[in-house]
Amino acid sequence: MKLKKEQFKIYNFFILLINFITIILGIIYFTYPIYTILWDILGIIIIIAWFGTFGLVFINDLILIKTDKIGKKINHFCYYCLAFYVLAWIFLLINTGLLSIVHTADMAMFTILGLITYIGFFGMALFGMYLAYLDIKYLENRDVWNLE
Amino acid sequence: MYGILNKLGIVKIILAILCALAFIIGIFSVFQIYVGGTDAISRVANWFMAQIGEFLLFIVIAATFILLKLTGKKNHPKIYFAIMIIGFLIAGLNSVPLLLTPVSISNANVEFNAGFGENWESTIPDDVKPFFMPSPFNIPQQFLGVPHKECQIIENVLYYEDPDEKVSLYFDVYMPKEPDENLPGNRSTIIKIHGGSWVAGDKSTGNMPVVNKYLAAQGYVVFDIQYGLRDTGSLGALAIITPENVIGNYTFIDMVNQIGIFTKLLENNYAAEYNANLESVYIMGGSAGGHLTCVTGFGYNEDYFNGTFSENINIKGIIPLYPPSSISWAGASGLLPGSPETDPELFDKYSPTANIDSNDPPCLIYQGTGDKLVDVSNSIEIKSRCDNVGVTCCNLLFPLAGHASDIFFNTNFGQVWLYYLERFLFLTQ
Repeated sequence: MKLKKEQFKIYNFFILLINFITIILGIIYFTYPIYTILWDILGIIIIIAWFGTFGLVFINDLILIKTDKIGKKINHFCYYCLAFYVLAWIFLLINTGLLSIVHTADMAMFTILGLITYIGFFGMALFGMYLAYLDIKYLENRDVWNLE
Repeated sequence: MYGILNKLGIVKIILAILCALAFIIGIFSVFQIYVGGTDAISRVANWFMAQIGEFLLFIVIAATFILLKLTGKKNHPKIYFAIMIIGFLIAGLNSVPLLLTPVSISNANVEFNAGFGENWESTIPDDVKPFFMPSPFNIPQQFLGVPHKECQIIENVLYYEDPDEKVSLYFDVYMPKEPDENLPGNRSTIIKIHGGSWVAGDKSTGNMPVVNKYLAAQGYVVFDIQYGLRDTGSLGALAIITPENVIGNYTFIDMVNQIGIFTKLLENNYAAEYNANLESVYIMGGSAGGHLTCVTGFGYNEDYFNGTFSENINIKGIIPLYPPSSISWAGASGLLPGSPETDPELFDKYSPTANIDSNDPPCLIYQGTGDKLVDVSNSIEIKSRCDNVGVTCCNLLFPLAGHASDIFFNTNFGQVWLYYLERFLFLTQ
């Protein structure tokens, strides 16, 4: 059973939107670090966004015609996206590991930890958004996709 | 095989190797979480693996997708599905400690219901609740962390010197920022004792400063103290966080005496200097610090320790984390003179459980069920002794959590612990 173009388009828009919401809520989370209900919403959103982006990469791998020039380009971007996800998770892990033990006056360390967290978190959302954007941009090109 | 590698290209080979490495780390983590070992690497891994499982979950999933892309469903269908099954299995098994968070919360609720009554939550006033964590767990905090709380900190205050051993002991004090009248802590005092097998460790970096800051921001005055350690020659990896000035040939007796000296100085000097409330004092510590917490807290009003501690401090709670309850081995390692056979009373009094009696204050215990260094039976024994004499004791058991599994305070274990810790402190003031 082949995936319908319209279904794939909707899914891409969904990934674009959910990653965008992740960025907005993420900015609120980092700039206003006092609990609000938005934290719980962000929690659900980021899990959907991360797994959703994995799903998009997986679908791309199944339906992309990789011999096509654009197909190859999108395929390569999927690799970059996944590789960045691994790196981002390592960044978030380092932040978690060091945040609890960092010396109280070590402002340089706090800055570095903050920076890698922002890069990791927002980077993942941006990669997800850009992949969805690429898919939507070239969706009408019949040589790129193996769609119904 | 060469043909496949050649076809993939060098970048893809490197990518494949890195993904395989992620799989190996994931498998190692699964082994440590569910089986574990007694070797040095396993003991260190036991601290971290259950705490970082959720991060490995996503790393392994990403690695799985990369490997799936590299393999290609059409080219190698069997390998493709094998990678998929193995990858998701590793990722899934690593996520179990996180998925069991509701069980930790449920366990904690049962303990609090038993200790403080079914309606304990409603006894916390509405104007206090905003200072507390609103829920025992939330996802953004788990993955993104939370900023350190603002408070006043005074570091490296000298409180004890031993010229013979060339040892000098210091403490850090964490205090609420002014004004603090409405904070839930009411400047209650917390004496924090670090862990490190009595031979290593330190205050500050070695004793979770982020938690000290959190509690100080709630109105508590936290004294994070050093005590004299036993010199074993080699500290291994723990040497990184162990300063020279605390290492001497000390025993449990000396360590408890040093804590006692601190309590006397607290009464005579520091309480006034730092505006610490001595009517409400808590002793808190992890691992070796958990043992010393129990000996100090439960032994505080024992005749055996007459003169050791300040007599004008009111202990309101004892908070040991992963405390060892049996110390029968302490003679062999020089931490107590003699042996349980030659001096049974000494070994009895310096064990965490022997001093528990009906006059003792409430106790809150943190314990991971996957702790390979201090078995869960230790905390169960302390809890059982407390129950037998009618002392309120909440033993918070965290499924699959290892030793010192609260060390990453924003992960699921640390969050749940902090949620109940702040409530315990308030309820027992």
